[in-house]
Amino acid sequence: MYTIETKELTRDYDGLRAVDRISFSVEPGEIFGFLGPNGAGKTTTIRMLTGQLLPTSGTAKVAGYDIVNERQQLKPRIGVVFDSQNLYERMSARENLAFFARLYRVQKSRVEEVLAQVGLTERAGEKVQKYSNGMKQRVLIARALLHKPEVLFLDEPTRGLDPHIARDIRGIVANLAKGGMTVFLTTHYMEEADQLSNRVAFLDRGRIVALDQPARLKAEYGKDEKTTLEDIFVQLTGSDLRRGSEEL
Amino acid sequence: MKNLKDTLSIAWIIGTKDILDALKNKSMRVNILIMMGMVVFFYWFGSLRPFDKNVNVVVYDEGNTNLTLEPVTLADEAKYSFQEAASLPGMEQKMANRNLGLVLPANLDQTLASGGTPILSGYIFWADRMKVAELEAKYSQAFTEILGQPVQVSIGQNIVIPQAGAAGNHTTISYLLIYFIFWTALSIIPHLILEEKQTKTLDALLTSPASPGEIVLGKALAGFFYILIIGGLAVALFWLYIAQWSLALVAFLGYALLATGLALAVGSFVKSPLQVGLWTVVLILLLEIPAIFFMEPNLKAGIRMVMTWFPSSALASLFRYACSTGVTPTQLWSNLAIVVVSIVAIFGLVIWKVRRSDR
Repeated sequence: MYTIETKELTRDYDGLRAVDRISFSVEPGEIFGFLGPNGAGKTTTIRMLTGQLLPTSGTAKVAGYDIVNERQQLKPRIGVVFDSQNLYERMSARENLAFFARLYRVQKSRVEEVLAQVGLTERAGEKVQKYSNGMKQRVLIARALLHKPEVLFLDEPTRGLDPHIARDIRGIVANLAKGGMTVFLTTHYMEEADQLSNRVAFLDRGRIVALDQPARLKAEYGKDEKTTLEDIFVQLTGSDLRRGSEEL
Repeated sequence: MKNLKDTLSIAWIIGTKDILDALKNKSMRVNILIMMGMVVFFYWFGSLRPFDKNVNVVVYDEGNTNLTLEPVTLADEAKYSFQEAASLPGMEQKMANRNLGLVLPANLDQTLASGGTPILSGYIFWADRMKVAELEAKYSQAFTEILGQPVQVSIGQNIVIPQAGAAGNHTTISYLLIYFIFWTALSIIPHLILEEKQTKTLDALLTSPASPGEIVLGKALAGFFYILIIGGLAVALFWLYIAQWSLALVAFLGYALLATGLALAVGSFVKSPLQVGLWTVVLILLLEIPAIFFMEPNLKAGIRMVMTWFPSSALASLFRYACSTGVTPTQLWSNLAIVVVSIVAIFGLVIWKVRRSDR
């Protein structure tokens, strides 16, 4: 049984197709990289898979639950790290986590566990507005892990972070997958996707244009051994951007 | 499926978070303090009036005495003016905006001529009922000075509850409450929703076990808490005007629920704090104008009819009835129906909007 399974999942906005009949499946414990240029439909897909947005057509199941009809059962089984640092800035990290712990009905002691897991125990009492981007990102990951979800959705988790913090975050994600958690990852950093993902899907204008293990994609589309995942990504996606730059 | 207990529990968790978070927000703190200041100011300005030295007296002369009462300014600068009434009920009716009703006894002339101390029956409003002894002393001293010989004004149990429909301070309070409660709701609740949208913390809430309905209910609870504080302060200060507490409670709940619903609707539909500000001003005017003017005697019948149908006019009427006597069931139920239908309609609109948030 797959942890995530979509069939012909589609979403239109005001007549424009943001996600176009995508079908894929993710195995339990897999890190699945979902890659695409800006506006390709990555965030819309995550929003549908996490129950925030209804699909226009198609179906999907996450952790065994239908994303349309079983959203309330689905919610406790997923954790989401959003592409924005959406924390309550006037509250401390500990207060932020304690609030969500109450919503998820998890023990208070779990707050300290996740704070330790992301290395924030010492400064957890400070207001979030004083935190650096890296610290905020750690709080976001801690919040997503509070209720020990089966599936973790990470939307651009290392965007804008300095290399050291980004490496720490990647380490946390890799450890989670080792522990059996399924991770659905979107990122702009091809090296990160290559390093972390068991499989990647390239999304272009709402459609999946390639889906496989990074090594196999490189073997299939690469010209030589030096071909990187980024080369393949540029080759397969962003056709609009390429056309625009050619016209210029 | 969640049961009602789970739903209320989640709404409570969100509501308590927002109550505490609002206190950490400087602009909301300022809003709350300003509104509390306004309540206290209007109480001081509208009912204490320490600078107001005018005493209006409605006089009912039981025995057609020879006494003529002319406007007079006393040694303490208090200005007394007089208006005659033909009967005791007439005097009570005319007291609508007067401070004192005074009955001159049939034997007043004889008592004054014999050098005795006449006893005049004084009538005061329900709102002044706690000050009987103080007012008896004050008016006895005043009329002793006016008549030039000792006079005793006895109030005792002569407390007049305004008739339904009569104007007075309680009328002013009824539309002040609209301002206090609706302004509080509109300056807090939409911002609670808008801030969650703008900081995208709403996304985090929507992927948590909280449903959109529970999130909205949580915001409503937080707003309701601050409405209780501001409205509660107003009621605590103006409580002396209330003659029927059960009706006052119904009216207060009506104010609070309608204000909460309206504020939730604004928060659900608008997209920026500027829009919230504009809508707040527009809605307060739309609510206040009919509530203030629908009782104007010179108003055209058609305009009056339209204004009567405004929920704010119905709420103001309900509060006035709570401060009055002689309310007919038709008056009561028709206004209550307008309020209830308005509350149901506005919450229906909010629920419809929230349910469409995932589309």
